[in-house]
Amino acid sequence: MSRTPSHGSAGIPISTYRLADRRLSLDELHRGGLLTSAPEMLRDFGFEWCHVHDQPNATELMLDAARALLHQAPVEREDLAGLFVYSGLPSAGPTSASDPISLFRYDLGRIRHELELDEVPVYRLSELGCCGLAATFNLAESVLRDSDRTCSIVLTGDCFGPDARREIMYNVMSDAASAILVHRSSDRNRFLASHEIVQSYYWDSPAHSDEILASYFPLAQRVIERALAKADTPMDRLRWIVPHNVSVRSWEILCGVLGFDPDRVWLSNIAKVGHTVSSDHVINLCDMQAEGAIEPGDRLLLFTFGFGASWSASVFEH
Amino acid sequence: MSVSVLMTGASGTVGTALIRHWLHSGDLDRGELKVTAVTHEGGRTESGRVLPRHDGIRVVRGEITKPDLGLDPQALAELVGSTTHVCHLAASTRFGAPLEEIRRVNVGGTRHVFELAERCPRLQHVALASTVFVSGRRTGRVYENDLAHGAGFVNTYERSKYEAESLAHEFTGRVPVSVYRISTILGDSRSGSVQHYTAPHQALRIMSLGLASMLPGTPDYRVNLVPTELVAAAIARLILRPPSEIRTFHLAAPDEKCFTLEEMIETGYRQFDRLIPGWSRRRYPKPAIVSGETFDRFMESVEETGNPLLGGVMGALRHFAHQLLYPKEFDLTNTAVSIPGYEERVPDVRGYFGRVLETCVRTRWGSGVEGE
Repeated sequence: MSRTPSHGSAGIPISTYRLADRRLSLDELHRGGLLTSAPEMLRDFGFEWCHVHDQPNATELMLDAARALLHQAPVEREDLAGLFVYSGLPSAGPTSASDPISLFRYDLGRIRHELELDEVPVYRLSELGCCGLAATFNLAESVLRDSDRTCSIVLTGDCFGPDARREIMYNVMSDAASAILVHRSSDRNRFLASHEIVQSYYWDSPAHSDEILASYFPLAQRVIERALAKADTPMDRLRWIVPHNVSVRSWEILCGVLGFDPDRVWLSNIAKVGHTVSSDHVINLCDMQAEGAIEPGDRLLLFTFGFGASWSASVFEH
Repeated sequence: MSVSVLMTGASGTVGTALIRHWLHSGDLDRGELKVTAVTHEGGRTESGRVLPRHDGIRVVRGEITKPDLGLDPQALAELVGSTTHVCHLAASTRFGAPLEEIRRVNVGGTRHVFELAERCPRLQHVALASTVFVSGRRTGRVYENDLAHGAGFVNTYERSKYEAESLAHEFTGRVPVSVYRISTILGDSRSGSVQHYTAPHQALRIMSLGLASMLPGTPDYRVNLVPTELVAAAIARLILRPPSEIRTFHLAAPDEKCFTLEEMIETGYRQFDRLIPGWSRRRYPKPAIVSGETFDRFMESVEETGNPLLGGVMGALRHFAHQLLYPKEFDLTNTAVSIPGYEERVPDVRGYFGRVLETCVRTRWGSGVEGE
């Protein structure tokens, strides 16, 4: 379950994201009955704010993120090898077949239409939980490698719905979308290697939640160490771990397991943003770049866990 | 010479194994040895079995936390008059018990036993069962003649046994005491049977359930495990010898016959694969081996979330797992001098670990009656 590029220069020159506008504090979420745990405990775990979208799905957020990306990187449509779309949550479309044709009202079609991407092949992935971005990037990079086109667009987005509960396994969940341009010859964020561990026995997340919690750290350690080995990157050569925004507490523990300095994990967005299903890495990368935290040549490790279940780590060079 | 042993803790792991040893050796049948088992459980073992019926074994209700072991005057007078040897095995092994509570049993109880022994006119020898972990947080080679240290302890059990040994030194000159520091007992190496499911069994159970996230320690930590019958045979031999200058014995395994922590985990996983249908398809990861700080942070988080299952199973590790942070080797000189060939006789854990795990899996770690 590994990916190591043959040419080593594909990467992510540009990325954007869009967070849901409505921002709620832990106390507000608690008052609204949207948390399972006490706000004090979640605060102790590093959370503070949650972004809640007023729509039942993430299409608008994804469109906003994609438009911002195309504005920053005005690519020619004929240069695109594909549009790759990922959402880790089921679409909130109609569930009744009383009007069967409504079942064919596809958000993907809308995205292609509004972005004027009719001529671009489209690929949609789902059910990979928070590992969706990594898997979609890997697919995009792979398709690009076998294509004569120069780039692809990856969109991710997840929205729980305005009234949904906002806590999963002691993590506060936000709504957001992200867009990245994958270029076959990128001058920054060059992909070096990735590794994935799949544990399909855990496909029924509620039934196996305790085993998943117990497995989280040992498998995180294993997948990170293997990705680093493939990238020929010793742990101390890493400038940053770009996290998925699960609790700060879990990152403190994982750093202890890895023997990695927690000051080199970009944790500041966990309180501000919370955990989005598939957009955390892009949000963090964008903010790290905006704050000048990354220098050319810095090695970055993106780690995440996704229900389903899989553990994924990718190594990039900025 | 007739030997009359007053035994506390006869219903525990070592007590039942010792009685079994004497039954098999014929010592009880020949009438040369009589055992009076003082037990507050009516002679029941920890697995619910009754102590064997035999003319040479008498069961007396008593309680070590009480002066004169709470014996009725007639039983007390008989015991004082007849006892030649005292084998004090009873102890609380609740690692997480509050210090005062465990001290009451393990130190106060020992004092009561010594005081009773002091009054026995025919007394020849008092044996105190202790633990190799009176060495607490010490690291490196631990000698049998060493006791005092300031390294601290991992749990209240270790400390209470350390204090009980200190008490034995106070009684020097008043009663002839020997101390048997027993390592962690895994089970019977021949049958694989387990009397009492302790720390290593619980850790393996948690691994079998896929709930072992991490353990503190280092991969090359030597996990010292001994089989039940070896401990029983050693005590049977040592207790009947007249006490000499050598007073403390390590009943432990030499390092080369021990697993490393990493090896034990790997072997355990291979055994579960063999013993539990479908287990390998779950692909449970082996626990990470981490620093004490990381383990504590993880445990704090588990407790803070109130997760009942993880909290329960990982909580079971909390009171002993830290011992894995203090690698040590137990010197066996005294034991080897008194029992020639002892080190050669210690079975390598690699040879019987699978049999013990088979029992663990078959009985669901003691939740069912073994053999059913």
